[in-house]
Amino acid sequence: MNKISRKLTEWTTHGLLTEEQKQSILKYEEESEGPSKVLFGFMILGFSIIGIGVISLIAANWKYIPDSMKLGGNFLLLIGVATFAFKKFSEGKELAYEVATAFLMFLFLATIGLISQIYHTGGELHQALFLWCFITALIAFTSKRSFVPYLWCAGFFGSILLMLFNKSFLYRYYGKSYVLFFMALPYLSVLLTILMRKLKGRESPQYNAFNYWSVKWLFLGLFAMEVMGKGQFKFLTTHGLYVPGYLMSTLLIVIIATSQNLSQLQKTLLLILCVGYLVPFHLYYFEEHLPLFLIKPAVTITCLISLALFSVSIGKDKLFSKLLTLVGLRFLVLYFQAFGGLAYTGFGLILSGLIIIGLVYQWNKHRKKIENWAKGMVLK
Amino acid sequence: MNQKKLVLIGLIFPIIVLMGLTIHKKIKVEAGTKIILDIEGYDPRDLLSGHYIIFRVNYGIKKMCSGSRYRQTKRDAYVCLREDGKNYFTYSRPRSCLNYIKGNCQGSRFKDGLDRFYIPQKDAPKLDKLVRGKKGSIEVSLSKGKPIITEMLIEGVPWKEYLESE
Repeated sequence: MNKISRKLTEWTTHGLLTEEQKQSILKYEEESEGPSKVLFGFMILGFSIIGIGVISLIAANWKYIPDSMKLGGNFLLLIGVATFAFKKFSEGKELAYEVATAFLMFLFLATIGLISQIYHTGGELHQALFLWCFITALIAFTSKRSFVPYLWCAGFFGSILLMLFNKSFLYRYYGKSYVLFFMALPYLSVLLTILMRKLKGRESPQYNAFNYWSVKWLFLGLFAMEVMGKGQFKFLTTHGLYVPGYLMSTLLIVIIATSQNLSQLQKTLLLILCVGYLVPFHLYYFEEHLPLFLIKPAVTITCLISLALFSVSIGKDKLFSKLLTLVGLRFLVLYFQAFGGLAYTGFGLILSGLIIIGLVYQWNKHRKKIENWAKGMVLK
Repeated sequence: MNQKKLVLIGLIFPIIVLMGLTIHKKIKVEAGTKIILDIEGYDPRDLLSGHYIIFRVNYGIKKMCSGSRYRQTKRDAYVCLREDGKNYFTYSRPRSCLNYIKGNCQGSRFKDGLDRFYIPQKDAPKLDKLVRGKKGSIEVSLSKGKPIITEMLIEGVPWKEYLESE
């Protein structure tokens, strides 16, 4: 509210708005202001801490309480909180409903742990997480705030990663060449993002949660390919490991190419990103014929620039800035890779420092111009 | 389907699944045959459920899962538990065997799902020592080849009673 108020005062001072218009807008904003984000944040924090406390108590082993009482008490608590949540939803009290469902998410996880403890079941953590994701998917899907969908996505992708590095069918195939799994993962995440956009809309927290993770997986995949050596490909048991990535990228390319909501330039940028991202995962086979130390960074930079330009075209200015910062960092790393020896000398360090300061100064001076130029180019 | 119905299903579904899981486990425990198996093991910690002892059941069989050492995929396998203690291992279901455990061979190891028993943190060091000293055994409820652990015994006595008597 303070930010809006300051801006309105500034606009009124410059004659863009009349005093009456300013007051109308302020009145409207006050009346339509939803529950305070800070209040919501603290409520979530409080209940999250309680949830963690419940898990800890279970993990401490209640030796002297009969199993039937533990389970009975636990299910009564679940039913009680679920009833409270539904009541609040019916009354239109969004904050209370969201806090209750956040608490329930932790309670369900605690219940899985409790059943596992009482019946001494074996199994891996990823199996418990997958079960949790399965049973809470609908709660995350119907949530109107960000916390529960983001938490669910963290659990979902966390369980996939745990599967990759523990005894599971994923480990059996990708255990020694897990970088190929990182080839497929961003495409999977983007496809789920598109699905959420179709089902819930672009402003939904579900879409934002998957979108967030899609960008993270892209970064991780590019980073993994830059640092992974040939060891990941030397022990490749079958080239069939590429297939999931190929299938998903093909599906994504078809969706992009046939989309009615994207301009030609936006489609081009996304297609460059989709195809470009696949390239580093095949370079090992041409290692002896190609200068990989140049090609890998070139592909990374191309992918990041494509995504940056696309981001600015859909109004994601912050992401655009972050991506260009990463591009800058990657250029810097390339400089150190190319002139590594020099950088170790005093002269080299001084020069490097001056270049960094110079680039940061120029970027800060011309940032707005670059953003506007990029927007103008993409939105033509 | 309207939003209210979706929310209601979303809230009820996990509770029903978890209750169903609990009832399923309980029925298996009550309906199964109680068997005691010797174990040997050590004690790590599970982030979700607390301290537990990891162990392996000592079936008294010398060669299990031989021929599976280099296989990439799991292979179903069975251990027949005989009253005279002459248990035997087989890759096909033992038709004439009254009590058998179904597991699978992963490499050269027989995986039977009996690998942990949850214990209070403060009792962990004592129990760990006892199990490593080969004084431990587990009671399982066995039904159609699927075992569920019901108790851990130290020298034939439930572990809580054993520790209290020490």
